[in-house]
Amino acid sequence: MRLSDAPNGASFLVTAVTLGSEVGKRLADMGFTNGAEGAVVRSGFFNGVIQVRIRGYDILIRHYEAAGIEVEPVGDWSAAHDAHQWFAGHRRAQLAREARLGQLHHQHHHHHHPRQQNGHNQHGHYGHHDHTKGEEQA
Amino acid sequence: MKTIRIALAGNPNAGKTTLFNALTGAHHKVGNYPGVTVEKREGEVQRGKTTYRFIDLPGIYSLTAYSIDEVVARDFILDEKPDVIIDVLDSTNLERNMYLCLQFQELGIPVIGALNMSDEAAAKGIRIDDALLSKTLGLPLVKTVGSKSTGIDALFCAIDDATDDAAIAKSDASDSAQKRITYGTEVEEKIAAIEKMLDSDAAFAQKYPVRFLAVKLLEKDADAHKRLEEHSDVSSINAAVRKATAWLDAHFARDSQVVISEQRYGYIRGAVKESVVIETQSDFSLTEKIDSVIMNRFLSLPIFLLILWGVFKITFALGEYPMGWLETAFGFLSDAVTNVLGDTLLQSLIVDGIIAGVGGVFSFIPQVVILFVLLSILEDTGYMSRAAFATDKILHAFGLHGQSIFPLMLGFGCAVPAVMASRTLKNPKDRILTILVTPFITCGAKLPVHILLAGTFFPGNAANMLMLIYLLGVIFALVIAKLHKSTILRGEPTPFVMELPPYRAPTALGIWWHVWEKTSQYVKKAGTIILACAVVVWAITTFPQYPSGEGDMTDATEVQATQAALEYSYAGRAGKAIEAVFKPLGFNWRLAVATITGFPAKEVVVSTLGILYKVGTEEDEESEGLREAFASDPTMSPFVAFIFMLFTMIIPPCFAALATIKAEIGWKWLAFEFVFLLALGWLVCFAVFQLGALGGLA
Repeated sequence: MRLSDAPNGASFLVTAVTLGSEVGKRLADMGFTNGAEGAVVRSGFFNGVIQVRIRGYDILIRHYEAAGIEVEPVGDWSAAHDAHQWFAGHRRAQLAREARLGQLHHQHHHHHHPRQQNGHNQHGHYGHHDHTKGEEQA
Repeated sequence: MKTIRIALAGNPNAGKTTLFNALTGAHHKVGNYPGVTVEKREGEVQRGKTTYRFIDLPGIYSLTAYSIDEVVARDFILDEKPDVIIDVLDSTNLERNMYLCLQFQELGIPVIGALNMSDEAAAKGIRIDDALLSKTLGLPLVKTVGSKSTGIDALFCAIDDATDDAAIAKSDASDSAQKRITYGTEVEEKIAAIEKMLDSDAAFAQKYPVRFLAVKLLEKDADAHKRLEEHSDVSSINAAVRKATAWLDAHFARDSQVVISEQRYGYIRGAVKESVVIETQSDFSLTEKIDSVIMNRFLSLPIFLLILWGVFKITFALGEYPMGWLETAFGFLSDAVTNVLGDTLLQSLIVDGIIAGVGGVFSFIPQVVILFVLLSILEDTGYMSRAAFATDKILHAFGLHGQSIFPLMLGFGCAVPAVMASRTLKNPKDRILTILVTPFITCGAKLPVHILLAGTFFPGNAANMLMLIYLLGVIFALVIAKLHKSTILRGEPTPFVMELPPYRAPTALGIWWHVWEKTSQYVKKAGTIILACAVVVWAITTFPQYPSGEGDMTDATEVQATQAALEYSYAGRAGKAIEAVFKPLGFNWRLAVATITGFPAKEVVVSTLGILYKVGTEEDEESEGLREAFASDPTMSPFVAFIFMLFTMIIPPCFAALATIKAEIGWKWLAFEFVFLLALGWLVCFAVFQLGALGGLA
């Protein structure tokens, strides 16, 4: 699971930062390391900035950075408070679908990333995760 | 008599500057770090026979630098080698704050930890056993409260202990010397091997802390690799580092740079577990309550706009009074000078040139100060991170970054501090982009031009016209940002990683300090560039003097006489000569001259128009005489006035702003910006005027 999949209010344990290069290092410097516990506090409108609580303080990251952090759910994510707010039905259905799709769930989120739509300059300073490349070739 | 150089370092939001103020009192001076415009704050304190020189470094999260601020802090520590580092630690957030501390401990420089904001921690139920923590980490710790000057004496004692040779020798012998983290057997092996290779060049090993550099090389730190170039045996060390990182990557099944971060956090977790007890659940309640409204996904943006609107409202409402007083004061000054000197050239220089030019700028200082006070309050309370949260999505859509919001907001006051504030942006392209679009934001100096034109030609709608021009400025900034981002500054979107500090009450001293820094830049500009320009404008509108006693001028009114003199002057001649360039925009020669004289500073546009339309000594945008003369000019119309406002908004900013842009991003970008804005301004106004002319507006 990736941090970007976590609904508001969900708790998690970090397993790894898969973003490479400087951003990945900065996230690790800021406390996103294996075993660190945290929670998603809230997210901005339209998949905007996400507020994450980690190591006792709050940090803002974008959806893109969150997608580069592998996490393990703590507790039941579908019971997180976001699941009972607006679009709750949509959100629950999405989580259920993702659970069914298992490995394939990564691709489900791809249309949220403008970068992959633009497609230009894939060799910028971001590291890639494997599924990004897979999507490009597909 | 000895001098100890102490670097004050720590995470942003750890209360570093407050502690610096408490340590140094009022005795500090602000300079710049060589080559960059990051302010360097230094303060000296005399105690007994020792001089303590404190240097306040920009806030940093890690010695693997990320933004320019962090580069400056790291370079200072590595190159200037302070005698002692005081690491200011936020006691309410020890885990992440200790992360930087561990890196300091590897430098071979004595480190003292200041457990700052210890009162806040106590209130939150965080109990820190500082003696035990100090023992675990092998580092002197002092509990401090910067805002109440608590723990200052203890800090001075700790500095004395850390630099007292006898004490150090004793502690070395007793084996309680400064400890440092060990990264586990595998990593330590690699570090030791690289350390040994680095040691082979004695001069290099003398210059740099070898262990620190070895760790940084394994962390794939770009700067460490750059410094390695100075080593006599670069290539074999590089090969060894590559081999070591590849091995670590494989062994830990993740990036070695992350492995080292994990080890550090693991070590901290161990130390903190023993000595920090959190009695009550971490309490975010007040901040959380406020944020649940202010950072609500639907309300955050409207609230941001409301706050921005409120800031303007207060600025203009409050600023009006002192502005009037200053104008009156300058009026008295002009009269006094005229009384003493009579109708001479010197009087004309002082009154028409210097007082009119510089005074015009000074009368805007109250508004600029009020705006900066309000923005500093927003900054110090922690609202700016919320503003970035609220606006990032929109700014991102236009190629900007959420962190661009603070520079852009400062741009409403003055472009100089706004351009400087962009250095918190990590990515050079984001910085350049933010700097390039900042001039579109209507600053305090362009305001009088707009007030004059809107007030004269749109008497019933002046306020709406002002709003429109402000709004157009923002729209231009966004659209041009998008244009640059998809052409010359194309690139990957940059990451957004930003701490969200809890709300804190701003301190009066902190606000004063911020406002002083920003206002002094504005005042400096008034005292130098604008003074020079005012004299130049005066000279070109005065010389060559109209030959007196020439024929038909005898029965002319005074106004006609001065207008004739103006047309005869260099400015008048130049204006007529370049009129052709401005004709397609609908501008007469007076507007052309005002544009030219307004290049150094936009306020000069108003005083130039004043001089050109009616020998104005103290013309300002409220002046009835100027407005009448201006409005009765047959070549002027509301439409032309609007185009001139548009033109003023787009064309290059004042010299002071241009100089700051040059200092931040270099000549090349400055040249580009200048030509681009000039061409854009001309083309947009040309298009608008010609379209309007077709539609019968002109």
